[in-house]
Amino acid sequence: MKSTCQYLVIGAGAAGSAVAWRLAEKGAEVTVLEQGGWVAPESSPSLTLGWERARHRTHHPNPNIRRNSWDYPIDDSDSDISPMLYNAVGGSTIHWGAHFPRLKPEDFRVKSLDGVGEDWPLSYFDLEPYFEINDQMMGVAGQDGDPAYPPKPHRTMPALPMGAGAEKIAAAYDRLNYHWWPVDAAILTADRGARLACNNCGPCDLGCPRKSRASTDVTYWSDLHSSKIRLITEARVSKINSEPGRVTGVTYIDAQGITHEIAADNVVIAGNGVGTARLLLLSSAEWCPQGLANSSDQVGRNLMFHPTALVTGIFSEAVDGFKGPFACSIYSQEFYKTDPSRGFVRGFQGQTIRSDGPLGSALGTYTSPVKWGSQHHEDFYGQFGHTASITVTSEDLPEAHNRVTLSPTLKDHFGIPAPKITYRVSENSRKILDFGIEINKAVLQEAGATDIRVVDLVTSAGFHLLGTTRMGSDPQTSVVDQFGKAHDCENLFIVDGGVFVTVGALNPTSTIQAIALRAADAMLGAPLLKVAENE
Amino acid sequence: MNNSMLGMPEHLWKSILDTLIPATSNNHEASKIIVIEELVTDMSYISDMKRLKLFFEELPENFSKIDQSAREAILENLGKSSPETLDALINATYAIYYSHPAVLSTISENTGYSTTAPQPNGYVLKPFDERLLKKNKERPAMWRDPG
Repeated sequence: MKSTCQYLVIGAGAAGSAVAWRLAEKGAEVTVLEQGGWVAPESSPSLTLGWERARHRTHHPNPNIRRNSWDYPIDDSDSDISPMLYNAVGGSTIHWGAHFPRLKPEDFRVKSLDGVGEDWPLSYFDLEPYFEINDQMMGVAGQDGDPAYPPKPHRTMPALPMGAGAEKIAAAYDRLNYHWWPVDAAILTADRGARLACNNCGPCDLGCPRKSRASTDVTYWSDLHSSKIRLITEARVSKINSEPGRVTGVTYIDAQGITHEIAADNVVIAGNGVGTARLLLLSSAEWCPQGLANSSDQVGRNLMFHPTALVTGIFSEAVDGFKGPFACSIYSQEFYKTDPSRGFVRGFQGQTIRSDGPLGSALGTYTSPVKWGSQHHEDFYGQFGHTASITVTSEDLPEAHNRVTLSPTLKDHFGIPAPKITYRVSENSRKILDFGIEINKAVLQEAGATDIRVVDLVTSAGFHLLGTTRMGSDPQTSVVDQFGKAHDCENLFIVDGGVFVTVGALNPTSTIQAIALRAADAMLGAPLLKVAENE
Repeated sequence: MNNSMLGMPEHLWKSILDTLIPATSNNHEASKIIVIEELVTDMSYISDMKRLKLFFEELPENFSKIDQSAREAILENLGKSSPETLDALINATYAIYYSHPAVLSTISENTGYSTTAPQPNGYVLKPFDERLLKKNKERPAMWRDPG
């Protein structure tokens, strides 16, 4: 049976929830299709002794490992990095660490400033009022005055405590005269309605029964007051239907395997940089044989992940890194910008990561696994509770050969081709990683670490899925315009991380959501907000 | 022997597990903690079970009768030709061992680590000490306005 709607949003994750909320609150009629279902915060494994085991199995961020029926598999056999994502109302915010930096003003002008990549067709300041709305919606704890950013509105909730390991690292940064600052975290440090202040438990990635750590199911979806919004869960979109120059609706399959069609005046895709590219490629038609919105041949190309290395210090005294939000403590942007003397362009963010519980320590999530055999227990107690790590989160520049295509062999439960990832860490990123590793080693040594271990590429850190439907002014070299509108289809919009032109060296969720909110205003023809004009 | 143990005798499984995690002082050996059927189920998440069976077939018949260092040498050697299988075996062994209440209790005894789940109690959320930022607050702006 066919139904019709004004705006059909595909995906209820970070971007889909934000765009749907904005559209609905402005009076539009919205239908959201989400491949997964609701995940009750109180179902978090962090309430059980098996929490760490769940993290490495049933709740693993890699869909190929957890193998939920509502996931789709990903062929990553030709990729240096495995993609991590989650399908549910809330999307990957169900399982994220909530580190919430914004891209910096210079990240939008990489071509002009550094001669690489491309400039964005919008600026940090175009997004600024939307960053602020999003911060209010998600709830951000932080500290005013970071010299690494333009002034932001007063953070109404204090920053998270940094933890004993980070205190040593911060003191080392100070002695070395390097920048550091407590992170902006999408985690409440004070009660707010039904969301309680963080109780410093640690495994934010397993969901938050207190709803302290933001996920869009407990932020945007809890704040929806419009009766004009409809959410259909366990709805797997298999194709966007189209005619030359415009889309007409979608075909989706429900959990029982029954196929449905919905006609729509406008379709908005928010399926992440892998899922969205896959869906566009699946939606080829006679008028667009290369895939929908793909006359430029850019759909799926320029995949960027932020290659990440990890340097871990082992301290003789306990630093109790299992306490506190694992991804949120302090960061350093001392080596963020290009310095030609280093032999590479752009730079890295050093993000201090706390550590793990007993199982994560044994498996060596942040270091190498604890030795097996007669030295096992000695090695375990030498590491457990005694480590703190610093990432080298590197700039990742767009390269056409890093891409998402359709797998010729792998299919999901319903026989729909899975995405295939082809990705190689670039020479520039490798140089950044190597440079950052040496910097972080020196910092940890200064901090007093007695042993330092290096993971030179965290292959499981494909959390940021970016660049595969990039925005731009030129339809020959980009897929959408600055408002996410497809160059090839007047009523098709893309608002997820795929639209990133370049990615900086920072976690992208805050920027993804700001782009989605701004795109919603543009879709409705509403005046775009300007700085200091926030609602 | 039964199929849920991949057709391997229980004593052989136990020897392998205790080679990976032997008992020391108050720390348990793995075979006292791990139910083998659970280990096999867990490994199915991360390993090709046919490869695991082949891996075991390479073990000498007297494996469970030789001493720890000799068993370690054999496993290490097998791991060179089948690193993924050995890694999966270690991964599953650690996953079950370090989630077991008895092991967590020992860790608590040895380190003071809480024996309860992270939630609902969590840990104290101390206030951030803004005084630590004194030096960074004095830094000039580090961001660039590209115009």
